[in-house]
Amino acid sequence: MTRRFAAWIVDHPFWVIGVILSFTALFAGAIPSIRFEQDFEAFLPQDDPAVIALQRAEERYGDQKLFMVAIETDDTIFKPSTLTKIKEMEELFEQIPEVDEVRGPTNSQVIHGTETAITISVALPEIPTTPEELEAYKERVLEDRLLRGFVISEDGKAAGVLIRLKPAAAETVDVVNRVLEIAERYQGPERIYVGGMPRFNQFIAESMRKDLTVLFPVIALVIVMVLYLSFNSWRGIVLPLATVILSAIWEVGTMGFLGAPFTPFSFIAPIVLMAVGTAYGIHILNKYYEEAQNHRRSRREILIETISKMLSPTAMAALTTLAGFLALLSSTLWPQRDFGVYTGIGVVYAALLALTFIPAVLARLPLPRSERRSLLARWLQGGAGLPGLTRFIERAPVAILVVAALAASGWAVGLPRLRIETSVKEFLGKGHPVTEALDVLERHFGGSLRTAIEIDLGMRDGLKEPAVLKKILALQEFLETLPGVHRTMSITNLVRELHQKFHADDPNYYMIPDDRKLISQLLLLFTFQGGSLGQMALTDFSAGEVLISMEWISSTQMSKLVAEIQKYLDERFGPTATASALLTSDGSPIQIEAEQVGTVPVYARLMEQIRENQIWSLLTSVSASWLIVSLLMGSVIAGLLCIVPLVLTILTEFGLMAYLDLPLDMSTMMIGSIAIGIGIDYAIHFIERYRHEFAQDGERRRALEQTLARTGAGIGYNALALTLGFGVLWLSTFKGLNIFGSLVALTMVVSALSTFTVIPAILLLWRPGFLKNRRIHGRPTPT
Amino acid sequence: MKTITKFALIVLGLALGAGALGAQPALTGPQILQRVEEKGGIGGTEGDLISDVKFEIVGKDKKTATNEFRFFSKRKKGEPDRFLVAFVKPDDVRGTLFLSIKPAGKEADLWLYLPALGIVKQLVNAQERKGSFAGSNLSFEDLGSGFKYSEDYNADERVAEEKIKIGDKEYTTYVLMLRVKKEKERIEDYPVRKLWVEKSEFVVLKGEAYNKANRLETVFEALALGKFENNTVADRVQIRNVLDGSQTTVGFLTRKRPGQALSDDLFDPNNLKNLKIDDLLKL
Repeated sequence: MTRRFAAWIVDHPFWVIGVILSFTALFAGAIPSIRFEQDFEAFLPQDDPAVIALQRAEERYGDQKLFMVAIETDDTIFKPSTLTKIKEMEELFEQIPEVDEVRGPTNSQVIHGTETAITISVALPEIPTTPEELEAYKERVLEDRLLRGFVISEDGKAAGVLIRLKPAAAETVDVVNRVLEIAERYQGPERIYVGGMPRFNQFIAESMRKDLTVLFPVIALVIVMVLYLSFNSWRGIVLPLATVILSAIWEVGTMGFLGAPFTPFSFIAPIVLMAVGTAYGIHILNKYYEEAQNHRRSRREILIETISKMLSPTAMAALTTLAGFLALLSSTLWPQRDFGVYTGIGVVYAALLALTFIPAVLARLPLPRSERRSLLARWLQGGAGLPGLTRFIERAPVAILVVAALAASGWAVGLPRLRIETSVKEFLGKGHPVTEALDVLERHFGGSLRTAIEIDLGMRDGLKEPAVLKKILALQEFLETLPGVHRTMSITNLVRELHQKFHADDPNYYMIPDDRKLISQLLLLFTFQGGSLGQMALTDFSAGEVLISMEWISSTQMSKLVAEIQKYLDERFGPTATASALLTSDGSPIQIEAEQVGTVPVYARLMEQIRENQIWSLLTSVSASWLIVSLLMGSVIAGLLCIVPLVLTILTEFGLMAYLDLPLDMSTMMIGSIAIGIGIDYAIHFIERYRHEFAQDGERRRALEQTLARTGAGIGYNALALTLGFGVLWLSTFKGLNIFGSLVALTMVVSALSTFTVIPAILLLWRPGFLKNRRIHGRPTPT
Repeated sequence: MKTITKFALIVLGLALGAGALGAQPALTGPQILQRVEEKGGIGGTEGDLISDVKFEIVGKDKKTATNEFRFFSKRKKGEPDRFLVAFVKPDDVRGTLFLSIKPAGKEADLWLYLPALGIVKQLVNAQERKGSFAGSNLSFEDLGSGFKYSEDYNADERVAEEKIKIGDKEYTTYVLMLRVKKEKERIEDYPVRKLWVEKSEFVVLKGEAYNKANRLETVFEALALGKFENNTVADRVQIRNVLDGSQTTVGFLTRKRPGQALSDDLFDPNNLKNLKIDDLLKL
């Protein structure tokens, strides 16, 4: 069967190449339709309570994300030139069709009260021309509690323009780009920053595009280099490279056909595939060169022999890698599932193409004239290379195992220190424009992130009840004691402000009045004069939001914050809370509901899900790999032996992260599955070959020498390709991906080293039962 | 809520406007605009007028709020236009009074009386006509005093004609294009407006306002027409913000001339606190 398959490929090379190229054209046609998805709330299941709450809030109150342009000066923004810039920018932002509302230092409403009059006006209708006018404006805005710290910094050195997008604004990336263009036009000497969640999302989308265009050619170059070092021949470079490029096109084309977008999780799938998929070509070519040394056979025979012998190990390696990636299917986050599925599919494509495309092309090429050992091959097979390693292992197997056990224990001790969290600032890195903007917003405006609590009375004008307003005020006071929260804003701020202004600006009246009618009339005054309630209240005053300005804290802190707020809401606003028993002015009971509806609960939920998924995906992939190897090798012990390097690798990786204080975040969390999927290949190739060699004469030392000499080279090339391939992620715009690339590269090195040292040491000291059961004849010789 | 729109207000005025003017052939845009403006503001025509008006406001959150008012207006040539709004519903704001006095050619002076505090305050609004009347898509100041399009806009000379259907009846209208004057560009939200003016009585039946991004933002439409003192007036009008989905529907419940001239005390800022809503409703 295997030979018939191999013979057909070798006998019909043009058919094989033609079919592969046709499929490639088909898949390539689907690539342009792939879109980019960077909105994190879209990553959660859409029936998640946090997502439902956010979507409902956006329908009722508009966009819930903070989006702000900050203008920072060295001295003061109260200069005609700077104010002109701010005013012009506000007007230009308002003209963007997707923008719902723009609020800044010149167009915000200012309430001013005297003994005889109330003024509600825009803060700055005309640019002041005299020092007196400037001073009057400065006094007006800095004295206004609704503006100071929100759109003007306390020290007057920075101004903020808040932009609210329409909920239906489909492509926020374009809107942010237009805002950035406008901001850039007015840059200097003032420093203008664009910050907030939409800017972060726009950056992610742009960076994904940029990374793809940069990383593809670089990884191709890295693969060329590794292949040159490994094979030192044109066919040794071109064929594996073409195979991974074709498989990447097939993989991305499949995503296009199935409507899967590129996400921050999945956009590196083709890059990962190129690194991973090279292995199949390497092993097949390695075997081909080995077989070709026997010149007594024809080219056809050599190729059939190569395919026949490589089919089983390649399939086994591809299956275990697939299992590793498919373990991500246990994730509740579809972007992680997508990454797992499409990389897994890509791996199958790569294995299939390596087994078909490479032999088909080789069938049309003459046999290599003589073995041209590459630089790397010469080093590996030289005294200091694999033979030296063999001697070392033979001399000190116990020491190797002791050192490995000590190292594993050392790493394991550090594990409790491992932080599981995602910080935007850490992901982007310090000094990044987006991070800088967040810092500016936090420095001057009390936060770069906004979340909200919806207070729903379920009755018209419920928000005008003094008892309700006082309860909301108490909530705000509690919120402002929480770490990370800088300030809050709700209808209570407005009512208190109006109350004071109506009493000739007497600060003693900065309080919630006890008279519902007065509250209604004050609010009427505000709306009569063109005041916008925005998110503070719905048109019928049946519900409103408490807006929370906060720092962009880490995910752990966010989860803690969300939990603390929820505890308070349950105690004070929950259906069973005694404190929630309020009465209206006419004595009717009030049903008051409070719910966290902003982006922070969604973000916290996302992180919780990632954390839960991590444990599951690790367990699933280890179990699946063990099961597959056990089944294919017909031995549970063989399966366990293959897992030993993986356990060491995972412990090393997570232990190192713990000691270096690197967080396990949304990108590094996938390392476990990748390490298992790829790393187990080394063990499979090694044990299969050792088993075969051992079956020849039952001589362990000879079996080990042969295995390391033959299979060791292939594993070495493979490990080098993967290490350098993942190292390419150092060039990514995301600092998080830089770390991810380095850690996977490290994983590959540790995995290969463990395979080269720990497994041989175990096999020298112990002869497991599965070695005895092996039938030599009728089974292909592994690489 | 984005505020509106001068044209909507004048249209409201026209809805009450009296004095049918005969249609004239080959009128230019500016001439038509002049005829439209001769109709006055919401206070209506010359003399005293009392109207009961209901506002149904639908916010962009799709929630509704309803307000009912009684409007008192007094217009006499050579004297400032005077306009008093008494809140009738909802109960919380019942008795709240707004007073507008607009001398010719000047901005209106506004006063507010809040019964819950018993205090009268003058309202100074530097936003110039941008105030939103009771959270609606209408501005209070404009509603009170009316204004002149020709102060801020130039009408195109050439006008087209179009037919507009309201209920079962079809009306022939002039389509007037108004473009903001250079010197008013900064303060005016809508650089371009379009009015559909009924040909025989110069009642504005429809209007559109285009924002600075040249996008249609606000649409005014007369939903139902009626008669007052033999003149065509709009009984129901709707002002819609097509960008955010908010809208205000204004229904005129009653219109009447008072049995005797409205007392000047009604329009005296110092007397506002003495006015009782129940007494006002008896007028």
